[in-house]
Parts: sequence; structure tokens; C-alpha cells
Amino acid sequence: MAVLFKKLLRDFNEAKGQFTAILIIVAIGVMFYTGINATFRNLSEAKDKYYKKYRFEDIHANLYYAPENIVQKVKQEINGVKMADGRIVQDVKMYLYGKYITVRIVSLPDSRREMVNDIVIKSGRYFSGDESNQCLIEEQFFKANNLSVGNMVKPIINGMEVKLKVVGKVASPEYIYPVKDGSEIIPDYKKFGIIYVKKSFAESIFGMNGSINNICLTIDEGINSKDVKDKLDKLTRKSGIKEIVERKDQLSNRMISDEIRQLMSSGSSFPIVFLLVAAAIIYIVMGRIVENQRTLIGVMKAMGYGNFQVLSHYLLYSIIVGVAGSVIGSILGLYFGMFLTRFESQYFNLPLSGVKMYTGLIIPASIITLFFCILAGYNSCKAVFGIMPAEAMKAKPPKTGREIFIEKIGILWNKFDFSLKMTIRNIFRYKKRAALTSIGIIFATGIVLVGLCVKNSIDYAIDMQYLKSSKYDIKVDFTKFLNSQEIKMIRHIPHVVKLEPLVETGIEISNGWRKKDIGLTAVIDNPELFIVVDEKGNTVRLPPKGIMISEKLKRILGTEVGENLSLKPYIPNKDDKNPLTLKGIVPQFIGLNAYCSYENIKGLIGEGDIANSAVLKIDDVKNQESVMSRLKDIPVAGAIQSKNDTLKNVRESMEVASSFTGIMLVVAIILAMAVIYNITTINIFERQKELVTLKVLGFKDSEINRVVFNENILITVFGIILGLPFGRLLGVIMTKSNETEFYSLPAVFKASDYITAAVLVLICTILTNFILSKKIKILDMVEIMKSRE
Amino acid sequence: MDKIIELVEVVKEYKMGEVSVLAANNISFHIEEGEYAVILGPSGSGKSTVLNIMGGMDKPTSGKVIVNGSDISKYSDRDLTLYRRNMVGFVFQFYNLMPNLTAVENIEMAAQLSKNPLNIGEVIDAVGLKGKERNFPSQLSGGEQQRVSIARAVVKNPSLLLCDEPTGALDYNTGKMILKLLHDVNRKLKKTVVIITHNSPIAHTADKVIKVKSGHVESLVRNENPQPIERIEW
Repeated sequence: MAVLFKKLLRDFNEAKGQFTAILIIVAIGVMFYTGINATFRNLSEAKDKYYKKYRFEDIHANLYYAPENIVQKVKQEINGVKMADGRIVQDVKMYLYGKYITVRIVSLPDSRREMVNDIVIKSGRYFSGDESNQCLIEEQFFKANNLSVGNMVKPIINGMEVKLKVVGKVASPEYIYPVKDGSEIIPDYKKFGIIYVKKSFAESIFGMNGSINNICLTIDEGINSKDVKDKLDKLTRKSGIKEIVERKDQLSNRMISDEIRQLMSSGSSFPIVFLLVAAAIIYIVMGRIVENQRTLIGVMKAMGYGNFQVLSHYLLYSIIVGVAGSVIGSILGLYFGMFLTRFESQYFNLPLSGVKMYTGLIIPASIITLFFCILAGYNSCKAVFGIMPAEAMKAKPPKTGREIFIEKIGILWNKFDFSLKMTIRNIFRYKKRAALTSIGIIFATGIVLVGLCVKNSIDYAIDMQYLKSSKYDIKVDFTKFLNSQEIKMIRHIPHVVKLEPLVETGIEISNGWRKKDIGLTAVIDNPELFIVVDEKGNTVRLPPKGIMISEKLKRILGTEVGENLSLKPYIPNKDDKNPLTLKGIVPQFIGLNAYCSYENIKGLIGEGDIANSAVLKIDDVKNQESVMSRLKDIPVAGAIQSKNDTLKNVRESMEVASSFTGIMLVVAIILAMAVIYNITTINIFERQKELVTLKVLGFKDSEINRVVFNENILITVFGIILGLPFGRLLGVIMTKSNETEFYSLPAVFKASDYITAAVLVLICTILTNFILSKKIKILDMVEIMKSRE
Repeated sequence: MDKIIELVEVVKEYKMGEVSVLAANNISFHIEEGEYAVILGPSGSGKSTVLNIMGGMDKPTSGKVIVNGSDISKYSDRDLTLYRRNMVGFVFQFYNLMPNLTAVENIEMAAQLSKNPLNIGEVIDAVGLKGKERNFPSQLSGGEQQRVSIARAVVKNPSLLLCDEPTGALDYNTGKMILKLLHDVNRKLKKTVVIITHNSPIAHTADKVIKVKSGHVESLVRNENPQPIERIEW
């Protein structure tokens, strides 16, 4: 066997290029498997530990106003509540580095004790008994704004700047992914942060002595959180519930859980594509080697080697590829996993106790890889069983030519020149090989399309949300409902040319027993600044009576257009159910919202109230700052957002999507080139006599290349034609599977994407052809013509 | 008559690792236009090397190969390609047909390379392949395949037809028929034909016989009375 092993190594050496190409694909597959799965485990483990150690909530309720003793009541009256804490949580605005940003003030006990949603102090210290205005700042915000312990921050509370002294930098399981609300997908650490203050201080600045507006609790194991939620709802209803949120719906948790889920699914789908392609190539390459060494196999058998020995010799090729691929891929995967974990931790502030490498993943990765390699190898090598020594040592029967169906179309066939005829006949002579090459191309084309689709979908969503639907310059939220008089005052701020009031409120929407907490936005008739649009970006006129919701919400509620839905607003003393007819469906990508015209909600809000939010158009961008500073002086003004700033930030955050698209493109290029390289190398080797004969006859190199490369071009074109619809389907499946209750992006394909995908894959083939033309150029006429076969 | 090709002191040295082999050692001869020449020699004598050099498939280590007044041994690969294309037709021992082209397509393939090819139908007639045009090589006998191969070489209308053991893979009778065909090509189509063989009786049919041994020309004989192939036995 030692001699045979030497032979094997030499065979490897002769087919370096091919084995390298297979190795790359196998290694990439393994790398994706170990890397993505390690990341998923890193994140998921860190998250679970973090949640447990710092008692992340199971449920929280946002209330309008409740006496502090409600916490005691909750603990006593609701079965299964393990711990409960009451806090004051309030979003306020803050002027920082020349910009208005939003911060969330969260109260903590004056002196440290165990609590739900505990904090981790990263630097500095907890509150001391000294000044009342000490604060702790959430880490990401702290870093993004270059704060340091000892700095002063000045949030605006009830129209007054309140000076807070920073005493520490903290992190919390509640804000692993700190986004303000469900309308943001990517956190902007510069513009939204959490500021923790003493409970006593919060009480005094918000005028909430002995009160809370947020209650968070953990529950005992085995207790259904839905039951607790219902009981909490009953118990706190009188206090005015804004929303009750279970852990699974808590924003930060939902984002990280979705991310982990997506990593988990791509951790198996990505590698499979690569291993399948690798298996296909191994199948073909091994088949060729066995075919090529027929005579040798005959000799081996004649000498007395058994079938099994011969088979295992050839199987060893694919086993070596599998083992080497696993080793290289695992090593790369460890680094890839570290890279990916670091990348994810830019977005998720998790205590990753060192980025772990999961050596345990190498075993399943190697087993799966070896399985694919051996399966492919066995299927192509089992031909050795059929080789009879005497027969194998005789000359091979000449390759046959056969008429193919296209030839029946005489008019067409006669127009082809000989090289095209050879090309087409060769494709049909090796149908299986052509089919497998096509599959490689189909995958590559599909992957390109998916990569582009992801970027498009995000661009489309941004375009719809910020360009088509938001025509305003500034949006301002109020901390209470304003009447028409107050709105008029805002309208008269200099440079404001148009103002539209909005009502944005949380409601419970229900259809029979199915219900969902969502946001309801009510707009005026014929709005011009805040427009609801359809998929094409056309303005949708909201019906005077009735409501419009997203497709997804319609599915959740199991309702149909024309049916009645009940709305229950979370506004104190207004908890009657109001029936409204579902009038239509509007597209929505982020969050779950319902839209209606103003008329519909008159009964839901207070007498004379008209808006708790407004959108403004100003005469010139250069006046934006002055308008915003006037707005900030209004005591009831909450968050103030400039659309352009928001859009800029969202675009910056979406750079991530571009890097994903980039990875997909690289992957597709490697795939296409590796497949074409392998198959063509085989083709050139098998047909070297034909090619050399052409050379001898006086064909130019370019003409000889055409004979081989036209075949690749034809197969590539065929693969692209099938690959485009395949990619489209893949893109749709992927966006659907990435869909969460929280956001659903449409799969968007542009005409230019199809062209890009087709051209890119075609270029890969042409480039590979170019690389391989050297192999044809160096074919030695004298040497090859001498040999019989 | 004019010399169509002349070899002057041609040396070909093959380096195989540390050993070097002199496949051709100072070979000089010429072939005249319209001649039917045979290069005779045992295997390993260097006759194939000579043919490869004549055909522009290989370059000599030193010496000159003069064709139409220019030395093709100095040609670039590109020029050699054009030389093979325009001047030379090859016939091989193992035919080397394209397995997935039919007989007529194999011939067409060569014809399209030439500026003034012969009529394909006439060539097929001349080599006696009528009725077999649409067969693939695997559907033809050895003799028939060699006929296609000859047709493929001839159809380009080359000045020089180089045949490397054209009967080597054929049985006696078929071999004779192929030689007859080559002779006809020489006489009727006025093509210069050079045949390489180790089969000495064939030499009797030639206008000129060049005997090669161990890489050098042993003798060069002009045959005033070439025998018709039918009279030759071996």
C-alpha cells in the first residue's frame, strides 16, 4: 500500500490545480459551517448567561402613572412572579454636540440592590450618597459620544436643562441592542442612549413622587408568561397601560434572538451548497481519474489486488480532499468565527467572555464533509468493480460519435461550423458532466442575485420609508396631546411652511380572540407630508371610515378586507373597544402598524385634542437648525427628528448590507471559477489528442481554444438562464425566512441585477478560459501524437 | 524540378533529464516538387523526428529547413501554424480523427482552413468514401478511417503530404489500398507525398528513397523505375 500511496501523491501533484479548486470549495464550506455556528453559539451562550446573571425581565409594562405600591400588589396577587421592580422610564431630548438627540431616563434604586434588569458597571461606580444628580450612562452611547466619568450631561426635562454628573459607564441585558422603538432597525449610539438616575431624583424631576410608570418582572420557571401578562393587564388597567411586553417581544431581545436564529439557519444552508458543489466536482474528477487509469487498474487486478483494495486506493483521493478540506476549513473557520463574532458584537453589546473557538464543531463538520466526499468518490469509483483485467489492458474502444436531436433540424445544423458541431456533440456526449457544470453555474448565478437582492430590498425599504412616504423635514413628538390652538402656535414658528398633525398611539387591535399590540397612526385628509404609499410608491388615499394594516398584521389577525376589527387604545379611561372596518392593505417593512384617517379616532382621544405628534416642512434646509431650536423650547416637545439626519444615519448603518452583498459576490465568483476550471481541465486532458490534431492541421491557438471554450460559454449561458429564476426564487425564500414579526422586507430585483449576475458569471467563465488557454498552448504535438491513446 | 523542401545539416537533440539523445544527427536531403518519396528506417532511427521537423510540428536544434526559399526552423510558433495550415497535410498511423464529427465534417473542418480547398465531394469520391460521408469514425473500419484522414489532409490542397506510417495500423490488403490511394494522390492530384515507413518493400514504389539509421541518412537513392504498388509483396 505504501507504493500505491506514493502513486497517489504523484497523481495529486499532476492534478494540483484541480485538487486545489476542490479543496478551496470544501474548505469554504467547512469554514462557513464552523465559523457561523461558532458565532451563533458565542452569541447565544453569552446572551443566556447575561440574562440569567443580571435578571433580565420576563415581562414589562409601560404605564401612564401608578403608585409605587402596585409593585407589592403585583408580587402578591400574581402567581408565579419571582421578582418585580418599579421604575420611572421616560424618553426626553438632550442637546449634545450641536444636535438634539433622544435619551431614555431610567430610574435605579438610590443604593444598590438586586433587581430585575440589573446593570453591569463597566467603569466608574454606582450612585453614592452625595449629590442627587448622579447618573450612569449606557456603554455604547458613552463610547460613541466620547463621554468620560466626571462629565456633565444635560437632558431637557419639562423644558429645562437638568445637569447630570456622569459617575459610571454601565451595560444592561435590557439594552444589548439599544433602539428607541420598533421603527428603527439599526441602533444609532450617537443619537439614542440610556441614562440611569437615582429613583428619588427621577421622582422629583418628573414630579412623580411615590410613583412609577414602568414595572418589570421575572417569573418562576414553568409559569406561562402569557397568563402573567393577562393578570398584569387586569391589575394595572386602572393606571393606564401603554403596553405590556413579554420577553419575546422586548425589542433588544427580539433583535438579538432574530439574529441568532438567522445565523443558525445560514450556518447550515451555506455550507451545504458548498459541499454539494464540491461533491459534484469530486464525482466528476474521480470518475475521470478511474477512467483514465483503466489500464493501470487492469494491471493491478492482474497482479492480484482485490476489488476492495483498488477501490480504497481511489477512495483515498476523496478522503484526503475531505480531511484536508476539513482541517484547512476548520482553521479558517475558527478565525472566521472570531471575526464574525466581533462583527456581531459591534451591534450587540454582549459580555463575550473572550471570543470562544468551538473545536467541538470540527468533528461534525469533518463528518459531514467526509460523508459528502466519500459518497461522491464511491459513486464514481465503483466503476473499478466492472473492470476486467484482460479487457482493461486492451485498447479502449474508440469514442463514439452519435447524431443528436438538433441535427434533425438540418437547416440549423448545416449552418454551424465544425467547432460548434464538436462543442454541441461533446456536451451531449458527456451529459452528466455538462449537467453538473450547469448546476455550479446555476448556484453561482443564484448567489449573485441573492446578494444583490438583499441590498436592493434594504434600499427599497429606505426609499419607501424616507423618500416616498416621508415628505416632511422635521418630525416632532409631544409628551401630551395638544389642541388646535397649541398646534397653530407651532405652525407659526418662522420658516415653517406647512404642518400636519398626527396621532400616534399604541393600541390593541383584535379580531375575535386574536389580538396584537401595535402602533396606530392617524393622519389628516389628503396629507402631503406624511403619506401612506403602496408597493410602487404611489400615494394611497386613506378611506374616511375604516383602517388599513399591513399584510403581515392581516395574517396575524386572520382577517380579510371588509371585516370588522376592534381597537382598544391604551389611553387612561378610554379602554372601550371600538369597531373599525378593515379597508385595505398597505406595505410595511418595519414594525406592525395600522393607519387610518383622522375622523376614525375622534372618539378614542380626548375632547379638543388633535395631535401628539406633528410633521413640518420648512422653507429651506439651512433654516433647519433654527426651527429645531425653537421647537426644543416648547415644554411639551419630546423627540425632534430631522428626516435628512435620520436618513443619513440609516444609510450609514446599512453599510453592513453592502458587505454581505460583497461576500456573496466573492463566494459566487469562487464557485463559478472552480467548477469551470475543474471540468475544463478534464475536458482538455481527455481531448488532448483531438486538440493536438487540430494544431497539426494548422488551426491557430485561438481557433482551438474556441472548440473547448465555446462549450463552457454555452453551458454558462444555459446555467445563467436557469440560474436567474433560481436566484429569484432563492431571494424570495431567503427574505421570507428572514422575515420576523418585527420587519419584513420585500424581495426586490432590478432589471440591472439580472444583467449584473449574468455578466459577472460570464466574466468568471471567460477569465477561467483565459487561465486555461495556457494548458492548451503547452500541449506537445510530437509527444501526444506518438501515443496511441 | 524545383526543390519543395530541403533539410540542411539538421540536428535534433532531446534532453531527457540528464541524458541527451540525438534523434537526428546532421541530416541533409531535399524533396522535389511532385515527388513520391519514402523515408525508410527501423523504429527509433529518427525518421519520425525528421517528418515532424518537415511538417513544422517540431524545431531542429540546429540546421536549416528551407521551404520556398525561407528557413522554417527560424519561424515563430505563429508562423509555423500558418505553414502547417497552408503548406502541409498530415496522415497519421492512428488516423486521429475527431470522434464526434462525421467523416464529411472531419474533412470540412480541414477544408475551411484553406484559402483554396479542393471540392469536398470530389475528394470524397477520390478516396472512395462515397456513401460513408455521414458515418462517425467509430462507425468506420480502419481503412475507411485512414481514407478520411487522407481526404482531410488532401482537401486543404497542400503542397506537401506527410504520412507517418500510414499503413502501420492496417491489415495487409487495406494497407495496400491506402498506399495505392496515396500514389494516386501523387500522380493525379500532383501532390508531393512523403511517406515514413519501416517496411522496406514499400520503398520500391517511390521516386526517391531516403534510408535513415541512428539519426543520420544512410543512403539516398533515386528510383528511376518505381514499381506499381500492386506488384509489391511483403
